[in-house]
Amino acid sequence: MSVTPLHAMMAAACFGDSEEALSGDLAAFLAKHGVAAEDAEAILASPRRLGLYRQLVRHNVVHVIGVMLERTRTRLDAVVPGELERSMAGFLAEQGPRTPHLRDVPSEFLAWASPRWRADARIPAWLADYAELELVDFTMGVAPRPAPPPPLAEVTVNRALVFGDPRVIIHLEWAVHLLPAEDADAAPEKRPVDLLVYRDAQHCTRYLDLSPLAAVILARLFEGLPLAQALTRACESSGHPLDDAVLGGAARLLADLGERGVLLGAREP
Amino acid sequence: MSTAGAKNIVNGVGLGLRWDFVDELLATRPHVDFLEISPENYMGRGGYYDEALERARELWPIVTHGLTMSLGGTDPLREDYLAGLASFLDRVKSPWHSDHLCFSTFGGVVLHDLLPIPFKKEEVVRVADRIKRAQDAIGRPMAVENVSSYMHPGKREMSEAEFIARVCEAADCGLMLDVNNAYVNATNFGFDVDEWMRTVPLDRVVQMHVAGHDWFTEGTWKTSDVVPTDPAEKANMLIVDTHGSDCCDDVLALLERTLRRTGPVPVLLERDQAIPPLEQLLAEVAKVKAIWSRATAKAA
Repeated sequence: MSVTPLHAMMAAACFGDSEEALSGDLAAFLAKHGVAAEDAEAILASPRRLGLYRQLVRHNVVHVIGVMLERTRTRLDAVVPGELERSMAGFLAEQGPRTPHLRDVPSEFLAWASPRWRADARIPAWLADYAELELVDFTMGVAPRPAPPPPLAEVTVNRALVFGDPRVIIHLEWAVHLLPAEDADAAPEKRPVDLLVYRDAQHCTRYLDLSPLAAVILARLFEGLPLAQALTRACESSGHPLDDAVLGGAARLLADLGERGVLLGAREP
Repeated sequence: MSTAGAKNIVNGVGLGLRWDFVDELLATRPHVDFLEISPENYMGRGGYYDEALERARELWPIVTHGLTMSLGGTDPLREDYLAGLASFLDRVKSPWHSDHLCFSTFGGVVLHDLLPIPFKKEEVVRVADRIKRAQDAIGRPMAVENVSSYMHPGKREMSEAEFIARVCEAADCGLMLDVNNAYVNATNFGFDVDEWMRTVPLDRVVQMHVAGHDWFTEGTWKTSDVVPTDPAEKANMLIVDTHGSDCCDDVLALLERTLRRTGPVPVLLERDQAIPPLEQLLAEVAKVKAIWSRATAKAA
């Protein structure tokens, strides 16, 4: 006789919307999940401890999400008290964690919750951006160790550039990165934000606020285009002339990235 | 002083590495025979703690103890997880790898906890087959750990100890004997833990765990500050394997009795909640080490 119904029943007891079922008609709950009669009989004759498993399992998942989204919880509670808990319960009931790494569960949760928060008129429109930024601080800090860089050459316009990892450009609709941590009532300015997020040599997550054109240039460079080509393509797609101001700005950006340890050099021809 | 010099020898009494004290451990380099880590906390990650692990690896032998293999599960074993684990074990040079005799996944959902599996005859072969396949995939000997459980999911066709013995035999794998878990189950289900120890295959024990536990009230599932002493109090309570307190005397006494029979196998102190200052944890490690030395000297 397959144990699958027993596993299904226990998984539903832990993550399903079944708290009342567990404390109410347990026989009906077991039958609903196809538990065989002899197994159901044994469970019903034992102390009722499915609720304990539900508590223990949910605690592990909810705890890690709460820890990694602590500031988001504070902001969310200020406008819709208890919403993070409700969202987590919805996540567990509808989808549940798929990753074997507990540390990655908050990312799965946020991917599930963000569109729901954005569609919920009770919740500030910037809250999903705020949560994304809070989480990227952790995910960047623990991103896989980079592979050794290729042999490096001097930066010239015809060469592709080599950047240190991990790093990513994130796009936000609100300037949530400027919100003061100590002021839970402050609201961010609505404007497109492009942030370069990277990990420095001391393993700290760092941010660099980019202009829209700088973000496009950097994105092309990250794709591996040679410097001159990246500048040309970025200006074309942004409808911006490739003038001295752009060249000067790009030079300053690359110098800054070099000082930050993000730009390592150029790929050997 | 560090124990660098004995880098590949895992024996004596070790400590589960936790981020709460990793900095202090690396700074003070106390005497600990070995460290145990959960690969899930390090696989595929870089940064500060990954670097800390590299430093720890230079100072202490490392063994690995996984959390999410779901050896008793019905979902297929995750090939990507096993491949990543094999590569990680190569890196840290763990002499064996252990995981739990439980299930932790269903329908693609990872429960991130250790759920009990039914002790049924048909399950012995199925679970043993998964252990063998996992062992092949990671290229290292595997040991399975007896878990704490609070209910048996369904009709029981044999005792827990008998199930463990049969699975280990069928899989030809090691036993990670968690002494606290055996004590917790014996207390919660009311069986003789020494009889349990006589049934499990002690000749297959590659490592033991000890840890603390807490008493919970039935039904409300709240922790109790009071340790019940009489049967009437105990009737409304159960022990939960929290790893949130010091090892109790009963568990340490059981450890000593068991070590006398197994001889010198490595013992690890686990602590995951209410983690005290490192100095206090090391004092507990020393206490366990004294028991270990006494028991294994008699065994020898």
